[in-house]
Amino acid sequence: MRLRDANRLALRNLGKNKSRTYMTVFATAIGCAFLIVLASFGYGVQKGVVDSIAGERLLNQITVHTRRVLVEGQERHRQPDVGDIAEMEALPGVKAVTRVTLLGQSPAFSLEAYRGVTRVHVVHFPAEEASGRELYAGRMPQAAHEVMVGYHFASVLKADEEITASLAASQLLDRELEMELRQYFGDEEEKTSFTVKIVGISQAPSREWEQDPKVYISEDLLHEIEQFTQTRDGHLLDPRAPSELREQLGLNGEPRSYRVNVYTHRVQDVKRISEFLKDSGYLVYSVVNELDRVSFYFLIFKVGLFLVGTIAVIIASIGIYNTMTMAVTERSREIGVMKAVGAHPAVIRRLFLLESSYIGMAGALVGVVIAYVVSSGVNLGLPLLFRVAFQETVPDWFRFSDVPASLTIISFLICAGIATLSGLRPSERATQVDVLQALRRDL
Amino acid sequence: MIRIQGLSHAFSMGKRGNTTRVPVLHDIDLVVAKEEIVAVTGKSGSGKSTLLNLVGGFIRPTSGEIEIDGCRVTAFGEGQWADFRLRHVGFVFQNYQLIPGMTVFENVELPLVLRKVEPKQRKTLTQEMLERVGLAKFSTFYTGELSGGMQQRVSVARSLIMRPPLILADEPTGSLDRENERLLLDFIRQLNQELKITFLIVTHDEEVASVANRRIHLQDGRIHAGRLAV
Repeated sequence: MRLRDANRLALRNLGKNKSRTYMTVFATAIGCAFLIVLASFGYGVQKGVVDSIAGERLLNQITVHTRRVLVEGQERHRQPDVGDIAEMEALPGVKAVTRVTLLGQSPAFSLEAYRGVTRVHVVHFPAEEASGRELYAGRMPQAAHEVMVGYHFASVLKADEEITASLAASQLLDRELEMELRQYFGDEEEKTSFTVKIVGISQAPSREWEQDPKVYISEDLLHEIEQFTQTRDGHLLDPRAPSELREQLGLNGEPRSYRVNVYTHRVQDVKRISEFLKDSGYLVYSVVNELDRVSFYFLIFKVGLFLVGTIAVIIASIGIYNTMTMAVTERSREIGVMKAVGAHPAVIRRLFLLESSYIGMAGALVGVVIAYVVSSGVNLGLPLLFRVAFQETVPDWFRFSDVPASLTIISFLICAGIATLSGLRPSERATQVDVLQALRRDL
Repeated sequence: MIRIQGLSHAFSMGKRGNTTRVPVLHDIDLVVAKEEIVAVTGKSGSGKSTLLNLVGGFIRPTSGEIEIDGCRVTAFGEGQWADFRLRHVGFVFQNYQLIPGMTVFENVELPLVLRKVEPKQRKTLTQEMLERVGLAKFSTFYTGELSGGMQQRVSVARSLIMRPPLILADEPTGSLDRENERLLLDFIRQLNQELKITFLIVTHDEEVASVANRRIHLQDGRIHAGRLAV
């Protein structure tokens, strides 16, 4: 028998006793909805915890701290250098490798009548752009004398006494800034100024308490600064500094080191790339790795909830078993006739399995709809209940119940699978119907 | 067409652990030639229906062999029997054995559905068959809406739809009035002559038996010597 014909027959047979079919579908739907809603609490709480850990941090970011190296047989840790960065950039799945060098001194900045001192980060702007860094206003610097400032840079700039107004972040864009740097040559202190243009303002930090008053400059400008200071990273050298330190910070001293963040194209790549970097001797951190541990505990929790929920589905499947057993008994004459005209036992089995799987799928579908409604109701109603009954306020972002697509799919498959399995025994009984006994029955 | 050798059958009666074997058929030997109409007659309990059920594969013999169209059907499993019935054997029952939830068309079409025939071809073949049995106008009727004679014609149409070479009929006119009985017997004769179908008919009705080329009389599970015609 063709599948299409079997489907048609199975659906018609289900329609013969509509009320019994509807009640069985309803029982399955309740079982399925119970499973989804129960598990959704696990998903909801996990989501809340994960969100609080991850905050606004980028999930595809891997922070690379240091690299383990052997120096004269001894294990040492050093910050990544240009060679390490090139190695990381070549890894498959890596979107960008951002690097930061701290300027060795905090220059004084002046913008018309405003003055202030702040730290300077030397960054590789193309990598910043490739990493997906967003700006509050403007664009990423492209020329050596173009800079980006932090969202709170304006708060650093203090006006002269007679000027009371302060600058807003948005007023900084396209303004020229004087950056004053110092260096000691012998006992003499020399100063020089670089005129730079603010072309971009960084996005405000995600956490309210964080401040970003920094100025971000390019490596080209750093080279100019180094030409003036004659030290690596523009370090300000005290005239009393020992010669060893002078040598170390000199332009021919140790290679420049960076704070490095690796960004992957997909969150799924983070684990693989983290593991590779760890194996290569890097000390790395990513939110995903931290979340993995949390997720493991929640996985156990959710499996427990799934098991409890599945019991409800199994109870519902007893209803399907009963319905199908009754259907076999009621339709034994029809089965006998079909066998007499040449129906293969596999055809009879398939017909009854189709019926039970239809009940299961219909029940699972209705159950999913019920679960979504209940889940939405819980998320709306429980915070209200907490406020009224316990005088507790639930944070806006917290969800008691979360029904992701994966939960829906897993639950649907569990329900449809158990429902189909519950039809196995009745369908087997149908194949064993004795033709002669069945044909003697009157309807 | 049918070759039966040393066929015996006994039913088990009673509950488990305390069963008694009741012999029904004893060492039957019988050959039915192609295109023959053979009537099996006998009193109630003589074993004629058991013989038909054994030939139709609904029960397994205690001993003996049955061959149909050269196939040793007594060695068949349930699945093989299902395939064989679908292609080679049609059944006509006393109480028609139609499926009440299906229309006349669907009842007749059922063997074609089981045989996975294309829907378009199914429709053509079923309509042709319904026209042949004079029920084309009633194709959308449910079987409960038809008279006994019409229902038996639906049953015959269903048994013929696969054009089987052999039809087994168990008291085919048992539920029919004289007029419908006459029509059915004429139809059997016509099918035998036109489509060369072999019939094995179980009946206790002399009128029905008269349509046969040959009669086999069963008495106490044995072919009665006086009427044996192997």
